Amino acid sequence: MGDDSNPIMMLIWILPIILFVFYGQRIQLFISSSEVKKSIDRLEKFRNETKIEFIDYIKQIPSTISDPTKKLDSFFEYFTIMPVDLDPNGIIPKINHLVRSRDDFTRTHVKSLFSEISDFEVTKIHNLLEIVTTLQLFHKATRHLYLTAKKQQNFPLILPLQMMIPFIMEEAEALKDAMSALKKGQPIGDGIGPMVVGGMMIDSQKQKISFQTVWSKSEFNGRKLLLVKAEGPNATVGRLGDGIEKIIMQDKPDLIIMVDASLKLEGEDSASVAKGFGAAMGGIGTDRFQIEDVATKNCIPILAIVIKQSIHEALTLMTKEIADQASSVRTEIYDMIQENTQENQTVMIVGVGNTLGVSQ
Amino acid sequence: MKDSEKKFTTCYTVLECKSCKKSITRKFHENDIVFQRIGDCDDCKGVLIIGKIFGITIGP
Repeated sequence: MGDDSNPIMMLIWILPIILFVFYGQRIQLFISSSEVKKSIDRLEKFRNETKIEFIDYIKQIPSTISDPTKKLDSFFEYFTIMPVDLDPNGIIPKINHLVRSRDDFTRTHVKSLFSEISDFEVTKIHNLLEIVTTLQLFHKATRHLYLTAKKQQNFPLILPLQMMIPFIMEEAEALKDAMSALKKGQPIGDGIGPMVVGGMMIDSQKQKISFQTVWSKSEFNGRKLLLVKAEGPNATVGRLGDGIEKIIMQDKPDLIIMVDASLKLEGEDSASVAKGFGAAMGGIGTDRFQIEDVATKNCIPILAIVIKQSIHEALTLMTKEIADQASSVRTEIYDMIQENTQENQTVMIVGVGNTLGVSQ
Repeated sequence: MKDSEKKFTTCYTVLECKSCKKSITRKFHENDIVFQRIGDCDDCKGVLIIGKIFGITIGP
C-alpha cells in the first residue's frame, strides 16, 4: 500500500491545511504581535529611562525650588489639539498661535521650577521635556493599536503597526540618545546650518531680530550679506519666519540662501551636500510658509543647501563628518553668491536648525 | 543588549587659531561652545576660538 492511500498520512496533510484555513490569521496575528510587543516593551524602557534621566537632571540643578517630580509628571501628559482643517483657509496662523502658546506656556512652567535659571538652561530643559513627552506619546499610541488588535483579534489592524514600528523605533532610539548631548550642551547634527552661518557672523555686530533669533550684516565681493540664525548657544531653532519677514521689509534682499540639515535617503552618504531650490526648513511648516509667502510677494528667489544625515545623526551629538562639512558649505555659499548675484546686490543667508552649543 | 547600547561616544573640541590656522583637538570640556573665544594662540598670539565640537563613536 502506497503512502498516498494511507489514511493517517492523508490526515497529516489535510490537518495543517484545515488549521491554516481557519486559524491562519490568528497564527499570523500571534507571530506579528509578539514582534510588535517586543518593540513596545523597548519603547516603554526608553520612556522610563529618559523620564528618570530628565527628573535627575532637574534635581541636580541647585536652584530647583522643591521636588519637581509631581509637576513634571503632569507636563508629560500634556497634549496638543490641532485646529480644525475641514476648511484649511487660514489654518497656518492658527497652528502658529497654538504652537507658540504651547512653547510660551512650557517655558513659563519650566522657569517656575527654579528660583533662578539662565535662558540657555531653560531651552535645554524645554528640549529634554519634548523628548520625554514624544517618547511617552509613541509608547501610548503604539500600545493602543497593539492592544486594540489583540482585543478584537483584528489581524489587519496590526499590519500597519508592524510596518511603521521600525521607523518609530529609529526615531525613538535617536530621541533617547539625544538626551546626553542636550544635557551637556553639545552641538547636534541638526545644528550644522547655524554652525555654517554662525561662522560667517563671528566678527560682525549681532542684533536680535525676533524671539531667540539674531542677525548681522557682512560683505562679500561687493555684495551685502544679511546673516540670520537662531540665537546660540541656546537649544532653539528661533523664530526665523518673523525675523526674515522683518529683514526683507527693511533691506529687500535680491536672493535668499537657506542652509539646513536634511534627512538622507537610504543609500545616500552621511554628510553629503546637495543644492536645490526652495525654502530648506523642517518642522511643522509655519515658519516655512511665512518665508515662502514673503519671498513670493517680493519676488525673491530662494536657493537651498542641505547637509544629508540620518535622523539619529540629526538629533544626537554632531559627527566629525558633518562638522567637517561646515567650511566646504561656506565655500559653496560664496560660489552660489558669486554665480547668482552681481555687485551691490544684497543676499540673505539663513542658517536653519537647532543651534545648541553653537554661538555666533 | 542592542548594538547601539554597546557603542560609546567621545566628544572632542577643536581649537583653531584665526591667524595662523593652527588647530588643536582636545576632549570636550563642560561649557565649551562653538565660536567661543578660548584664549590666545601659543605660537602667534592670535585669537584662539572653538572651531568645532564633534563626537566619535566606537563600537559595532
